[in-house]
Amino acid sequence: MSAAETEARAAEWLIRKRDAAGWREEDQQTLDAWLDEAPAHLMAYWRLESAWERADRLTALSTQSKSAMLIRAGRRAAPMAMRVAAAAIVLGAIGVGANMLMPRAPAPSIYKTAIGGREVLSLADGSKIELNTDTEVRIAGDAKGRKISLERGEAFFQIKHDPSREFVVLAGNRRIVDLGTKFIVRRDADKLEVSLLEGRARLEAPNDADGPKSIELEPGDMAVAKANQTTLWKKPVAAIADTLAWRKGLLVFDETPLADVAAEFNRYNRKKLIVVGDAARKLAIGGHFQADNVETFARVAQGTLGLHVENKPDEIIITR
Amino acid sequence: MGDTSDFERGETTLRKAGEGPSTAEVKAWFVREVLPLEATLVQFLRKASRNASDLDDLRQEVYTRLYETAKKEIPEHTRPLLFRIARHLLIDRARRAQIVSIEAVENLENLNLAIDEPGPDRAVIAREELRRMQTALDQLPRRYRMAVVMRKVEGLTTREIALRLGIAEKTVEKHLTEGVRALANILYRERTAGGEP
Repeated sequence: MSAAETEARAAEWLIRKRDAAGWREEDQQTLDAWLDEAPAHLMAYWRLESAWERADRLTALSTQSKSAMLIRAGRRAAPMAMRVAAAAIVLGAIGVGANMLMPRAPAPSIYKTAIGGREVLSLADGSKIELNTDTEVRIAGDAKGRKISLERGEAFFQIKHDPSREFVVLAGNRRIVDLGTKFIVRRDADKLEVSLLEGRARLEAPNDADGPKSIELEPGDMAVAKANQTTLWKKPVAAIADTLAWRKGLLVFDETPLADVAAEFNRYNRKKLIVVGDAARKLAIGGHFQADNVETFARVAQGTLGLHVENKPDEIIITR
Repeated sequence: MGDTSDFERGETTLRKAGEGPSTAEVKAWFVREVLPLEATLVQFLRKASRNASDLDDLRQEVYTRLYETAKKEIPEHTRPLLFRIARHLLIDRARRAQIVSIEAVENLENLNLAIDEPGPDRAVIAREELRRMQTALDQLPRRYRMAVVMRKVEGLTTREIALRLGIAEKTVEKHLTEGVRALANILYRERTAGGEP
């Protein structure tokens, strides 16, 4: 076992043991056996445990009453230096503000991926949300419903349908209501795309939008919403599934204009592809590519397509 | 420097006839004496080993060897022993490797001086520890931080955190385990938080 694997195991044990609920005698025995197995296990465990215990100082400070600390911090009173430090830790640590420390006031949790990043979120009800590159979602929910706001980027939703607890995705001025479904929502600067893979979902537009206020989507449907207008495309379900290649880190193109190909790559990479000239921009491209390997694509463009490629430190310029 | 003490240590071991320190004693020593040296150790390993990818494995191996020694008797001088072990480990590895890295050997020689300097003051006053914790928490990725703060500051269980955030318990557990790993790395590996001038 590598040190990293050992450490991961040790961390799992530690967290499980330190959870107030559910630690049993036989768990302790299994842990002891694991620690006895190799000194490396014991060392890794002690090291993490010591770090975790140092963080206990935070608990000690918080027992001076969380709300009192927050109020003091808010009023900018001049309490003891330690208390200021404690409040600063609490506020600094949560970043979003005080509401999280107040009981029964669920704050939205924010999840972000970096450019080129991917992340799977598992919700308590068994639903899954996969975030693609450069994506931000906010999750909030209560007994009545589950609400996800897609701030930007793209996410694949696999939702456990629950008629008593509706699941809604908010994206700009549109709402997508789950009716038992798998769907993809992509939010770019100027448009929103909702593609349905399985089941059903309802796309709702604001009241002042043109056309129907609500569209029920079926598998293969792709709705493209721009400002106050929504267009519905019927596609083969396989084509919708193809757009999910990003879950494996791939981009799939089929007769896609090079300009669009470049735009896709640019979502995943800091090094940008720039295609200059209409002749090059309209060139149709097909194939599978590694989303994070723009250099390979550039070599293909040069070698196979015979385009002129200029590779600079932070951009690649393609001309015909 | 180490000759006479090594000799004495041999004698003590004989007298004690196999009866070593208790696990609790070894643990207390490990936390008190070894962990504060981790930043320097990692720095040493990073400079001396050209392959930075197995730093954690090297560190773990040093700790393991150190533990085997301490199980017999708690070392009196941890710092020189720790670096002696690290040096031997690197030399063993260099021998085993097909290509002996001249650079590595040179580094080992050059680093002797730096290693034997006295370490930073071990006594950390409460406020400094707090600042360190704050810096450490600030550096944690946001998701991990939220889970750690909810557990540590609010004392919530995994299940309660899961309910509050509307995510699965498994995910919370993952955030907490990754959180504690990151915390340990920040606290022990990096000297940024108050260690260096």
